Amino acid sequence: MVTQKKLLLIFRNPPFSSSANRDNLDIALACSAFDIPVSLLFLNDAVLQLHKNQQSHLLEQKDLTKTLNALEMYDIDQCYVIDEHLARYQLSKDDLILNCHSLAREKLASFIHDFDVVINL
Amino acid sequence: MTSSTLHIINKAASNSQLYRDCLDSLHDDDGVIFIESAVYTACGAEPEMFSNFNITAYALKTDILARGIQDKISEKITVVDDGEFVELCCLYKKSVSWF
Amino acid sequence: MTPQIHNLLDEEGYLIDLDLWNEELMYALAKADNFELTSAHLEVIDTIREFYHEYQLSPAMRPLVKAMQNKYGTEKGKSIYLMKLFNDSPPKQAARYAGLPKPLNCL
Repeated sequence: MVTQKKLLLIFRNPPFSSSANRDNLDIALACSAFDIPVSLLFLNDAVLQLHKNQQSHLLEQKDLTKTLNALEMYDIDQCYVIDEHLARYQLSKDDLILNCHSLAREKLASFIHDFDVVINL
Repeated sequence: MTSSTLHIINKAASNSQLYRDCLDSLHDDDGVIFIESAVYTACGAEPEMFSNFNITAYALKTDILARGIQDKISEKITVVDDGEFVELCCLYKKSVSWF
Repeated sequence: MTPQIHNLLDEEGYLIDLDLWNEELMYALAKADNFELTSAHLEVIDTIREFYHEYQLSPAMRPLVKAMQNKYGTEKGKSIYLMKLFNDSPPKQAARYAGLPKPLNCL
């Protein structure tokens, strides 16, 4: 059995800004089909992608938060945010649609260091 | 092969949040390479922001020459050609793009 | 397959305009495959449509199994159960009859 490489997907964009978050999420779902362990890090503005109560229909777009809720059905539960980034937008973890692990900003470098592959969209 | 990461940046330093995120992600012995608009960061005092880190900084020769800034590149920067860039990507355990 | 139905489908047989789906169309699509839909198939198609409505996404195998398990229990929440029910990949074939997009990331 080949040891699976550990994959980290970094989200960096706010909602409705580009297709990057959607693309990154597609990668996550594809990894699930191949049993590749994947972690998701929502950096900076990307914490806003996790904000509850979005109404994407007003912009005539698909609701990415709905699809993010499907992660659990794909057995993807390793989601991370940086406390300082939440604080910048006066958010708490209760404002988020996903259960995320907290990561201290000072731990970011060693966190990234531990992965084998990092995709930063 | 090292266990370190090669960080690839392609935006000018005016993208301050991008640079902050990259700086937050730097681990000891990591490498950073400036390509495209980021080669301006390799000029003069700009590399100072990376001076607190125990890293190696590179910049891509073609992008430097194309912008005519070869005389302004800081001596702390290792200038690499396209082939050496590819070698660096192989040398480091992984690369992380900051685009 | 009648030419009218054919015009509604993409080259892989998935419905182009999801709003046009109804049960009559579902049976016509299955009939065109010479495939008989039983109540067991309808449970899967229902589940897939609910999944799509909730997550804006056609499920791959793993989440479909999980959704079936949540709704109908462990007996029907198994990939082997779904594999026996369909002749193509269950998430793909069921998504076609359910009038939903082809599941991405599906083996």
